[in-house]
Amino acid sequence: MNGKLRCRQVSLVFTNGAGQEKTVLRSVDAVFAAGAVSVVSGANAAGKSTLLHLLGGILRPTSGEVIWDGQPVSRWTAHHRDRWRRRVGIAFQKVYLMEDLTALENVMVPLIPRGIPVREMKRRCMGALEQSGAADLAPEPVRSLSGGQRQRICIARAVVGDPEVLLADEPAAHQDPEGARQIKSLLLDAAGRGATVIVAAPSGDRLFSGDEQTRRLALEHGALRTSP
Amino acid sequence: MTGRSRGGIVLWASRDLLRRPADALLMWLCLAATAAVLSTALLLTQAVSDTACRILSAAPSLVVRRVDSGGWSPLPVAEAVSRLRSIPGVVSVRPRLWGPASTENGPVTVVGILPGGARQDAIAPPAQGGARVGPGVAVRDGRLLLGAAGRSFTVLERLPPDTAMVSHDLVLLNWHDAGEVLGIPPGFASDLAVGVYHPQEAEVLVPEIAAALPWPVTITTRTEAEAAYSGPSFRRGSLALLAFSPGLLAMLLLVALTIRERVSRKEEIGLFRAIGWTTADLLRLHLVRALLIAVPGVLAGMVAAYGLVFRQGISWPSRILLGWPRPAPQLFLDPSGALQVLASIGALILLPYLAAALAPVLWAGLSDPRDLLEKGR
Repeated sequence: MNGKLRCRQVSLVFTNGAGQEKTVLRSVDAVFAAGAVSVVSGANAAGKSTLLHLLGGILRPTSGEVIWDGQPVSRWTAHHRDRWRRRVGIAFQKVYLMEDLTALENVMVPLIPRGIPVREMKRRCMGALEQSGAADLAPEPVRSLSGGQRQRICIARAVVGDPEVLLADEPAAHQDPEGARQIKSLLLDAAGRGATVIVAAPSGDRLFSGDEQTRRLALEHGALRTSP
Repeated sequence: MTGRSRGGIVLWASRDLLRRPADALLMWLCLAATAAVLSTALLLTQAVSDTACRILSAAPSLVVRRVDSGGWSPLPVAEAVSRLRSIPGVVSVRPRLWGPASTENGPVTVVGILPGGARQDAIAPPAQGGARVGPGVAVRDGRLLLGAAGRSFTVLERLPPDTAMVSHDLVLLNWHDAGEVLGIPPGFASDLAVGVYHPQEAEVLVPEIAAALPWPVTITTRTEAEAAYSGPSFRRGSLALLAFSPGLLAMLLLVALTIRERVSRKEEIGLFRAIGWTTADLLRLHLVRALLIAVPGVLAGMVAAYGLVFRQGISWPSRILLGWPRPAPQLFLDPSGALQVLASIGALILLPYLAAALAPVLWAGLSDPRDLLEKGR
């Protein structure tokens, strides 16, 4: 399989406030194909979001490695991982938007340090908002938006930098059927442009059901296996 | 970093300030007020010192005064001058006539001017019965009553305000009138101004001059005069700084508040890093944001302080800081003195403020973005 992004024996153990250890991921081995959508499904608290955070370089595994293009990204220094994250777009489950800013300003944030002229930045942001079906929300303050609308803004922010890796954590959780269809189309488009797209979805999610080219993986008890 | 990314970060920093305009305005005001308080104390003491040094640079190398058991006493001019001129290294001896005299509005310093002064810039003596007075001398109907006997003099002119540091309470009379007012008989002087060939070596001549005169004398060098003048100013300046320790405490408070505000934005720092900002980008953003507040704030404070110290007619800073009972004279600041004050303000205000703005970003740079996102909640 042509995969730039892979996990090798990745484990993650959290220690809670009482000093008790909880294993979230257990020796996960996986290869994620470029130009395709991989759907990781699992029950609540199965570790889907954590796996996405590890793949996106915003968290380090307790053991094992996340590898990009043959390089152990998870072992890199903070400075190098910071720079590498420019190749990654993440749509968080909790969205993490800045409530007092407009939708357009929120989408613009990843582009600010990249040396892009302001006019070009606006053009790209409007393009990303259109793709996620939220172009009309551009001037609205985020605090006035619904959960579904916020999720679209978050997805627009993830795709605005044309990432090589796109991670989407339950991207259609708050969407109506039309919204879910738009988001699915956006994710498939990104894969069509060669991006490695990984989607976390709850068990039984039907967003990509019937899609032959989608690879399905299931996360159970911290272990990842291929799903039918 | 390209100019474009710098432009983007400056724009975003400005936008970030506008997200909390009241906070930004309050911080600006606090920085401006703190800078004004500290700059006033520093500028005033520095300006007094610079002005004193500037004036004393034209002072004689040595001043010789006769003393006796009752204090100082007049010198016989002819004898003293002839004895001092015979000392190798002495190039000029100039008798001076001066002393305190009373007026209706308090004491003044009376100075007698010798006709035909040797110096090109010497002031011509006023005619008998006339006086030239300093900016601080009160005059009624163009006349001035001097001395215990209340002798009346016609005021011919006022000395220019830019000489106020030395001429504030001066009354210049001709030599004869000054002798009468001060009670010094003809042929005597208050002291002698001695010029030497090598001013840097004036101290070497002190024992020779003392030995050459048949009376006990005190001899003051220019270096001693400078130290005597600027020393108390600096001591008072230090006291003023202590008195303004609330200003420094305010600065500490600003630093603490800035750190707290940045730490409270940990989630945002985590988010920015998660979506592709490097720690260096974040440092630049927070540096620009802090500079956008601090530089105009500190500049405004320093401009206000400059006005308080150098604008004529404002007397309360010098009254509080230096204990001067009257309006301060025109003061000057040398470029090196100005740089010293700028560096002090930079060290006292800008550095701690910028450090407070950047330290939390540096600390956050050591954590994984996910930890910042979770802990920020």
